[in-house]
Amino acid sequence: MIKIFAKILLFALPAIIAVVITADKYDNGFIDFHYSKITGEGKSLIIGTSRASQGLIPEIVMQDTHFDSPMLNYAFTSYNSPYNKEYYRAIEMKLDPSTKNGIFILEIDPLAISENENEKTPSHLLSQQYIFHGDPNYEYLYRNVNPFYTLILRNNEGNPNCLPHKDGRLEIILNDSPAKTTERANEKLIAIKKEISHCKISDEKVEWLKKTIDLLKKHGKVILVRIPAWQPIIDAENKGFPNLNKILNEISTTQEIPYFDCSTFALKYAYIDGNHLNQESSKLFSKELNHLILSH
Amino acid sequence: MVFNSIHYLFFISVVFVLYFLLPAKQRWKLLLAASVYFYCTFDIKFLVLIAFSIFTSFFLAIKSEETADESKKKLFLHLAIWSSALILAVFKYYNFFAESGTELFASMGIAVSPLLIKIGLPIGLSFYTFQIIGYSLDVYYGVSKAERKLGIYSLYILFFPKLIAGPIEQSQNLLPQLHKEQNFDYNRITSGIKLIAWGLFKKVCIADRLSVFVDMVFSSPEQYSGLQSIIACYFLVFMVYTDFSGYTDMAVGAARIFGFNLIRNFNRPFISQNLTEFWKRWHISLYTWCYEYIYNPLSFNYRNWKQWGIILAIFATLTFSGLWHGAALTFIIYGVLHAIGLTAEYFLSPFRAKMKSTLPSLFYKYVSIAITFHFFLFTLIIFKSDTLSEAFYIIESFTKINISQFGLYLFGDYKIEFLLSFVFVFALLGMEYWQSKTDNYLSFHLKLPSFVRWSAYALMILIVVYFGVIKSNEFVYAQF
Repeated sequence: MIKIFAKILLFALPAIIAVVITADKYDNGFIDFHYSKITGEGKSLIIGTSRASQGLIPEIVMQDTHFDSPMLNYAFTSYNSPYNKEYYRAIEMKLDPSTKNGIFILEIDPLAISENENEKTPSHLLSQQYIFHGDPNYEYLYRNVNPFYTLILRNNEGNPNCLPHKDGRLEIILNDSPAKTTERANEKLIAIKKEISHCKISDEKVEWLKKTIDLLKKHGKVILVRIPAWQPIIDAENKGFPNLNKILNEISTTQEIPYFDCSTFALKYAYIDGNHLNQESSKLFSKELNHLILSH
Repeated sequence: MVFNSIHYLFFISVVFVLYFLLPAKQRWKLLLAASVYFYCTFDIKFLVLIAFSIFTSFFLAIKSEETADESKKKLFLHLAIWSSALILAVFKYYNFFAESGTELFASMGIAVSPLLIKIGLPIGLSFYTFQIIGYSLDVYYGVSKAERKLGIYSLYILFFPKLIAGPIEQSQNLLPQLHKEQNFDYNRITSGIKLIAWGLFKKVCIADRLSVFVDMVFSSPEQYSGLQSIIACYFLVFMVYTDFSGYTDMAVGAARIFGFNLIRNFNRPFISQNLTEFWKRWHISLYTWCYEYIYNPLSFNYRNWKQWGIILAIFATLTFSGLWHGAALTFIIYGVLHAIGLTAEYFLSPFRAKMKSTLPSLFYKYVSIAITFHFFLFTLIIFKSDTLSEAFYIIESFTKINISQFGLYLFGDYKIEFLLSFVFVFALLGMEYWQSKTDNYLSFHLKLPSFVRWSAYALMILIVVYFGVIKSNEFVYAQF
């Protein structure tokens, strides 16, 4: 029996070596929107959806605070990381167990705690992932660059429209002319309204949000935040989910954690597509959040 | 837990180690436990259904064998068959007939609101139901003895290598093997591992690669040119073949590791010179089942109808086999078309015999192969399409081609994948040709020097790892 396993390992060795060499040599370009979150490390974390992924800059949020650093932006998308069992597991696996005084920003987008009555919740991007640390992350690369030889074809090239940072933050670079920005915002508003019309707050996801809070409280301070978006989108969300703030305030009270509803600051900022803060506004909002953290 | 997943690799490795560490007499229990676990990884709630089917068919077969009263025997047989068949009918066909009935009533001006079942199809339902029905019939007709050990019978139904998509094992083949103690045979085990690797190559390097282009074209045929549609159709044939035969190789290989020989499900179907031969080479276990339990009884019972009895048996068998694939008009038409083809062959056999004796043998052979292949291709277009109009749209594209427009640009970002697809399909056909020169499947290479063999194994693994397309979807036939 040992001979069989030994032979399989021997025959698999060239393939394993080829994968490792390829990953080492060719993982420097753009892999996907989320790879830097897997390879990055942080004692403090930003959790949530794409609003947080693009809108919160860890370095600025952490400035002058006394919390364990560095901070990793571990927010994905409302499609890939709603609050559920799989995202909880991904957070648990990524968490540095030695963190005692971290800060954990939980961004709440109503779609992250709701369910679409017409669609089954898709599997989380990381639901099959076993290894959450390491750079390069061979498992993530192998699972997500498919077929694997295409990693060589990418030739370490970047993506002109997307810059993933080492701290996990995602920077999207789009034509920022007023006309294009407005067009994107209007399209996004239509899409979000359509999505909201089929969604309702999920009790199960709210429970998983609470479990996530319980998990993270053991390692430091937890803060709930609702990031601003274009006012018509915020209005649509408030209309579609009238109980949202009530739920979040209740969680804040029972869990004894602060909740910052920054959606009321929508008019102060600018957005690349109505849903996500643009670069300048990301800096400004991260600073705003930093002030809120320091003053709380 | 699909066969081409890390989870399955880990699972089968653990089962393999434990299997040969256990005393020989206890090994079947481990396989049974592993099979139950395997089934539960898909959907634990349907375990109740398969357990019900197992228990009822087990006890009814014993009752049927023990009683001398023919009417009671028949009663037990019907209970065994219908208790499982009804489950299949409800889960697989109820919604189709309910919706079809609604449309029919609507066309007559009668508004009906059908009660539809919104529950998934239990994995492997079609396969194990047929196995149970076949077993019940075998016991009734005295072909097999009723199994007296519930555990062994459960393993016969649940055996994980063949559970989700066959082969549909006949009781005379697998049941006796389950009673034998299996020893550790190095050559047998390594042969099974090689078969698994070969099946994995077919699945991830060919089937899943081809399916990218096929699914693109079939989901929106109006966006693609006639030439692209035609290429997608040819890809479709090899995609379905390598997906299903790849799965079967992995199933047969896994069973072989544990000492069991499952029925071979494919035997180079694309060298068939006529449909009769084709159906002895394609999805052999299903068509053996249909031949034994539908065609033979019907053709015997209607033998007084002479050739019309045979035609009736052909139509019933092929239509049923089409319907087996699923509750859709396209599947039924697929079966009916093959019935028409086989019937035409039956009536044209004197003409074909004359052609065979008149024409040069090689010419006759390859023209026959080409006709059979393309007949299958056209029926597969209907099989794959969601609706008949979609199928006709794609078939119509065969009349709108301009060969001079052929070029790699047709494939856009898929160019390299297209070239790889060709290379791998030719490699597959070459391997099958080479392997046909020997009686033992995949054993021909044992004649090669060790260094060459070992390099080939390492290269195979490298190709699968490096060029394999990992898709989260299951094997095509697991959906049936």
